[in-house]
Amino acid sequence: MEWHEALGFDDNPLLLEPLKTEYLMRGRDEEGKELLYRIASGHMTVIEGVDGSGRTMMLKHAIDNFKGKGRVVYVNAENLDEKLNVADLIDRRPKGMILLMDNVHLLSRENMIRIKYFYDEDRIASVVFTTLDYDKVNFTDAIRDRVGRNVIRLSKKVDEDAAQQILKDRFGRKKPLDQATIKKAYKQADTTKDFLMKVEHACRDEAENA
Amino acid sequence: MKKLTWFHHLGFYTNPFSIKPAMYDNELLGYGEIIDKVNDNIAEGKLSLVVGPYGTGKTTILKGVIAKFGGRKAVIYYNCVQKDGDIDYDTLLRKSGGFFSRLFRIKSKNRILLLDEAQEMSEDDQKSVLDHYGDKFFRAIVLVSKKEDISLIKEVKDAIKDSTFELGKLSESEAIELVRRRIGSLDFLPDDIIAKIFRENTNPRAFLKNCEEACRIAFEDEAKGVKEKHLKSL
Repeated sequence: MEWHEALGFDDNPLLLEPLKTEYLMRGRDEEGKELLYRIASGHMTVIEGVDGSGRTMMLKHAIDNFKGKGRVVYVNAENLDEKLNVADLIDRRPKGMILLMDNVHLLSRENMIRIKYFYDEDRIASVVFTTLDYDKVNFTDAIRDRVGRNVIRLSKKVDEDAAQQILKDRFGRKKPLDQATIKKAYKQADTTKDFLMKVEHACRDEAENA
Repeated sequence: MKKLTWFHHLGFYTNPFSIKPAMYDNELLGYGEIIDKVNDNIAEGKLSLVVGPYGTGKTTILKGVIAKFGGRKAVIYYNCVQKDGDIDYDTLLRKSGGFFSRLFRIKSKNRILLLDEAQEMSEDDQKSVLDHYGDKFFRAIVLVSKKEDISLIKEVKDAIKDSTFELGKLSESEAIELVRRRIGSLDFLPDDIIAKIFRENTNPRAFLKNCEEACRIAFEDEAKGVKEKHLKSL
């Protein structure tokens, strides 16, 4: 029996794949508002944050707000073939698409230039890149100039109230852990993702003890 | 998408201060003479060099050339930053032809070549482009670059002769006209405020971004128009 079944959940409520879950983004109100504005205004925007800080969750927030008619295209550079030409991807889409490029630091410079070309041509309405460290991405000067001040920097983890809200969203009315355990997990966690992993670990212990 | 932005509330469907060259490629204020000369040079089969800092409209000029001279079938646009090794002009020429050109590896002739970010060209790239120009594969060439970054070999300099065009600064009245063309007579952003925003940063792209930011700040402040206090964070 899985730990979540032992604690009364049909599925794992602490699943860490933002694109496959339907939970609301918590603790990123300002950053989320800024992102939606930058997309609606047709900008090139960069979301910078360490692994586990919620970069992909921000993209999910964008998808939820702009989805429909094939307008939003999510691409994770981590999964791209080195030889892939993003032009092939964009050419098949209608004008005005929103491109969400996760982990842009793994994208070839050639593909970055293609994205800039399609953006200048207005084939792409807006672009959002996510990365670990904006300064270290191999962007051309022309792309950096277009990005300008549109860099949204994420803190490593959301504040404690938001972290509690995330657990409420996931656990619903069930309370598999006591507050002291949750607070300890938050205090020890480096990132939001790390917090959820620590909570899951605590849940596993709880399930075993039960 | 909900009406969440200042420009939606003011009646615009999209951001009127967009920095994308393709959206306003007929709007190159203050560059009319340069555009005419570049177009004349192309018609006469010459080489031209357009220089200027980022955000001054170099790419916009190239978009205008593509539109004027028959689209991508007649014009080859290439961004030199994407090259890996020497620029492969033969492949560019083959790709610019139709299906049979690609199938039988036939190089197109008489193409107009636009080389963006030409500061990335090596000496070999420059020599080779002149060879292709001499062999009539390219009937005209336009190079664009940041002024301080480009280093040309003597043969290219000689071919360009006096056809170097420097994109200068907008004047204050041109900056106001640029905004008026985008938003009409809308008094949400008055002329004296536009002038003040322009004095903050005269680079056209930065200026447009600052106009947008000022409108956004004023809108979020629930003001009836942009005031000086809204410019403090620009």
